[in-house]
Amino acid sequence: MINVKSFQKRANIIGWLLMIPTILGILLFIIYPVVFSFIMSFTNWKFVFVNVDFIGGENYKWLFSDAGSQFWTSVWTSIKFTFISTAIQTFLGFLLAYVLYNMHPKAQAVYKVLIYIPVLLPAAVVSVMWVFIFEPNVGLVDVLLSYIGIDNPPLWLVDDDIALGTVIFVNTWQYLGFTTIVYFIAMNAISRDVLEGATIDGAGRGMLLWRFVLPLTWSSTSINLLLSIMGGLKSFDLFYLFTNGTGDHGLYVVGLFIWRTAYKFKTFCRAVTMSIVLSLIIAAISLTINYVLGKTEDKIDA
Amino acid sequence: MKKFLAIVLGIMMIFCCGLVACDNGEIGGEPVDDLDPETHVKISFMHMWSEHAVVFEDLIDDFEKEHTNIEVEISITPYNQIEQVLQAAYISDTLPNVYTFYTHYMNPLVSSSDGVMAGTLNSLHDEIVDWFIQPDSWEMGNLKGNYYSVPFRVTGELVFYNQTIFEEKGWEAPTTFEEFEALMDAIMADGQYTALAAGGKEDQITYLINAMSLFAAVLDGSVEEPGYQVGRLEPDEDTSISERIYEKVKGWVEQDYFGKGAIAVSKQGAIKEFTSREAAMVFANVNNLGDISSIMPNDEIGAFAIPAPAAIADQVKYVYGGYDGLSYNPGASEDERAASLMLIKYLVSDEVQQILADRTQSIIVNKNVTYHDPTYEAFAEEYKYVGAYSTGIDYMTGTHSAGNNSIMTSYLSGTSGQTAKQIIDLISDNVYADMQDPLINNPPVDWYPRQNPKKDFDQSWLN
Repeated sequence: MINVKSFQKRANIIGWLLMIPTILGILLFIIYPVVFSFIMSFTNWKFVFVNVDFIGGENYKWLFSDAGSQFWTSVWTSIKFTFISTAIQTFLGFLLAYVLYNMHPKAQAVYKVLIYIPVLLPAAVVSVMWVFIFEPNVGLVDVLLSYIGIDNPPLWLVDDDIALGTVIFVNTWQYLGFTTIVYFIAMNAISRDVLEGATIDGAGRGMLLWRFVLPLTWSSTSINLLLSIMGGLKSFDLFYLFTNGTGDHGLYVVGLFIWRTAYKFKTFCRAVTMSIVLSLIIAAISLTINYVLGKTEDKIDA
Repeated sequence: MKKFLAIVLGIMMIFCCGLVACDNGEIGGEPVDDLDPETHVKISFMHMWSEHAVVFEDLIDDFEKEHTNIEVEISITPYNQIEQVLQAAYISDTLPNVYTFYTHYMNPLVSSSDGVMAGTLNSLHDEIVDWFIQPDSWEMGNLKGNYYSVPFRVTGELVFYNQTIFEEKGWEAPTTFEEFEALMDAIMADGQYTALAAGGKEDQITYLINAMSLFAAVLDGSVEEPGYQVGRLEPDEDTSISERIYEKVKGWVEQDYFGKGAIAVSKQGAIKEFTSREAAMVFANVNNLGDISSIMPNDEIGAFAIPAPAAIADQVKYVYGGYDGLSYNPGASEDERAASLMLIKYLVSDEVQQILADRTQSIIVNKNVTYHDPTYEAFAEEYKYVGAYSTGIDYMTGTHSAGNNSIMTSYLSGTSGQTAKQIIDLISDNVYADMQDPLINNPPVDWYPRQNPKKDFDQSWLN
């Protein structure tokens, strides 16, 4: 006769043993850095561990004073970048996916690859390529514009008023393929019977798109929005590469500011303080969006 | 499970707090005597010139033959990673005994680490400063009264000009600032070329503001002020001369003296304009000479430093630049430190610097070196002004003044909508905010009041 209790006990022990590597990983690579950063945010840690003292909440006080205002300006720049790029990317991604969905399968195969190529390119390659394209006078954009009579084009990456728009354009170009493919997969999962039934009942293309395709791919919209927003708020590489790490001309996003505070200005304690506050901001935004998207999904299901 | 997590978190917090309380900053003083020949020691040397790795291996071999009791282990780190690598090496207690960094940029290694990463070189300075073509270069690595870096190799940007075009047009390289301005006017009036291609995106246009500001400081005697020498001379309420400098450069930008959209052009873009013969002059580094000459094999290339106004033309010129320098680890043993200083002295000696000039086509620091290539000889003559009237800045800058170049660029491009006076005040305010920030400068520092009134000088070159 099997002793159930002893069997369960043995299974539990094996379960715990199997979890040890995961627990160690989480402790070492997630919990420890978070605890360490939190403690360091109450010190005057500049760079090396020399003359490090606890200074109470001075770093948080600094962050919420005039002296720390650049952090909030950078957060605002990141938010603008994130929400504008996410909106454009999601809208265009959906439309492109729908166009792709209605194509002949052979054409689909070709265009899927073409659309996805920019996603595979490293940010360094993308930035070098676009810096050449936007180079004043000799860059491709200025040369093309000169052919149509525009001799004084804007300074794409230097004019404070349009530099952010330029990076949003490049970012959209790079990640549009990902959004498109996520939508395309979701559209292919929609039963053809549903769409054919609606068509027989007299639904036009617009009605199909609005009443059937959009609601039935809503989970993809949620994924795209969440990934794009979280990625956008943490964005760093394009801004670093386009500005040589300076964040000049309105491109000082919060990730870049934190990096410079740590590695250029050697004030690590402020950098970790900002990272903690930024994590809270990202968590708040993500939870809010998740809640709103969940509610919308519930309405659709109902 | 909850208890377990609470215990783990508690242990972690205690460990972190312990880490904060633990200082690893034991440092030794500057050795003044050579290593005892009977004592054997092994030291490490990190440099950033991978293109000259073989030359350095040969030099170190010679050093080891000369000093059989010292063994040197060489490692190479690319120049764009050296700061991070050195910092990581310090944290992991593997900082090399001798390493290359930048004489003009020692602040990150000294101030932020309270001097535990680079040892002082005051005695060595007194002993060998006469070997150098530009003794002021040492001041670039002077922080709070101590020298931390021995200049080793010059790096900087001169005005390159196309001699072939100059001969065709009858133009000549200028020897005074007035001639320089007249030359730019003449090139623009001719209409065939951009006067001076500049990578405004990488702040090359602001070199002219720096140059004219230096000339004004020499003329009005500011360079002799103690405050100027530590980089924090109290700004004058009357900023009219600085305003005229800013407005003059902005005027050149507006008239496309540096090319169309120059404020957004990269250094490489500017060089491309020069090599495609769209520009008669360009800001470039001696490292670019090989590439430029290979693209323009039929053109002779010359170079000059930005000349000063006639009244001080024989005294100073301006070159934007600095020095690759040598520093040592003060946390090493006394014997290792002594051997480190012997290696540093060897690397800037007449014999070694001559080998470097011959084999690496570098412009180096020793005044007794001769260049066999006349082009490099001419370049070296201009490069000797790198670091002239340098200041040993005794404070750190950080968050606030980090955007000053951007502020200047926005002014020059006309997008900021601010006047020169507003920009100058804003830049001073930002520097002051960093000086007063107790985390960046502890204790905070203040402006240094002017000791003597400014001298009057002929300002016609600013018209």
